[in-house]
Amino acid sequence: MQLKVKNYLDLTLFYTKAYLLTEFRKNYLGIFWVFIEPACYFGIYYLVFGFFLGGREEGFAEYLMTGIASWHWFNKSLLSCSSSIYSAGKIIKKVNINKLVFPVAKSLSDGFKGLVMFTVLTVFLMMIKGQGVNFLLLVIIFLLNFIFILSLNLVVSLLVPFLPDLRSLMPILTMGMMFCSAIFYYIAVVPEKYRIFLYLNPMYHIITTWRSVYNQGDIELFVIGVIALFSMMLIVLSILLERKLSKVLPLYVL
Amino acid sequence: MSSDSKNIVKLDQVCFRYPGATEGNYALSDISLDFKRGQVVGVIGNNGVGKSSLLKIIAGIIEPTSGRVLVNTDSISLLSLNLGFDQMLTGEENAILQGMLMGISKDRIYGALDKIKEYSGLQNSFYKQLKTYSTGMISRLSFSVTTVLESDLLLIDEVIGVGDNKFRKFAQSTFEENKEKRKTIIVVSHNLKFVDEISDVVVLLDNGILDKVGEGKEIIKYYRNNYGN
Repeated sequence: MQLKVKNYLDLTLFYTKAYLLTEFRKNYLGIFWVFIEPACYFGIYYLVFGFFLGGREEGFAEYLMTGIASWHWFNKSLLSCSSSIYSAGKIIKKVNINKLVFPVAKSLSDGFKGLVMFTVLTVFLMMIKGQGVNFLLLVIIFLLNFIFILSLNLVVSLLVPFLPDLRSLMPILTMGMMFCSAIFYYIAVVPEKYRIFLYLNPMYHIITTWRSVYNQGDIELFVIGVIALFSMMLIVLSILLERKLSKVLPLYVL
Repeated sequence: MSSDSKNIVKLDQVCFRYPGATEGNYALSDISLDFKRGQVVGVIGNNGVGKSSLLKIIAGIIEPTSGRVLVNTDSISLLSLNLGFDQMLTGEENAILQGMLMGISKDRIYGALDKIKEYSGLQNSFYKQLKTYSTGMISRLSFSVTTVLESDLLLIDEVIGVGDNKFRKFAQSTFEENKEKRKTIIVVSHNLKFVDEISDVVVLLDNGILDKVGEGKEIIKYYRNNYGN
């Protein structure tokens, strides 16, 4: 039986909660890890790049932390979500269900952790820089970051059952993307002729936008619009793909 | 959907071939069957003859390669013990999850939680994580969810053989209860004694082909004589 829309929404939200509860209950400190992990990361990066290597570049620690936060969320979510349909085989083989429930719920649970991470970062940056941020722009860039991650998660998780090698390929692809995202260096150090690789990478633009929001710099609305449109198109493609493959997927999952 | 309300499931010349299987190598071949509302149907046959594929096709999980499937209800559950269960979640949380996966609305599940707890006999363990449960307790929880959140058509794939005697008795009484409520049950099992006790009709499959359909004792005797079981 195909579940109704309201039931799907409830199921997706319940799965989101279940993914988080399952993770928290594995540790003694439970939900506090959501705060502790990013706080520790940012503290260490600030100490190393802002204090011990302090004289190197003004504001480099903040630059690095923003890039790492956005990348960490993207990379962790994409890698864990890629197998979400494939490994839900026991359920998919027994229930006539929309398969996108699993990557959507996983993306939402990762999105919650991303929200906490950026909240911690925002407070941290406001404290060390002693200046405010535009919260509306923060919400917009957060949603853009989320929609982009969600769209890739949906497409990849639908493809993995048919192309299981993607699971091994994903870490290599994301590593390539990471080096084209200007996380650890300024774009100025990249020769002009190679900058195209960064410009073609949506994560470079998302990270750059995060940095602009924190630095109260200019936002490239056109680029944001293109990434949002691209993400929406991928989401629509995933919905159509799921409809097409729904009855075949149970034969390819674990 | 069929207009005949007495028939809850109708299979018409259903064939199914797995992707990548060679031409002519069918998991199910030319299966035509009618199941009536309130019937308990046992499906038997050796391993790999297509019993589980048949249930999946009826449940709408996979589509037949050819032929037609008419199911005259939206309320179908394919019972699989521990469906979607997670060791780190409590019995209550897992019951909600299983109910949602069965397509039951959240409100109905929440309204039935006390009954599920009572039916399963888990008492306060209902609120403990599944990792503290024995296999029997997990089976009872799963069976209770399916029974309390009843469906018109219950498809059961080989779950009887997994538990101990206590669980089998619990399962049997659950089947009887469903039968009384005129719920249609299609059960795949290798436990011939159990199939004989609960079934109105037994279907015997052999290598994807419908060998025989009829009254339980007759089909089981035929199966034992011809298949050496």
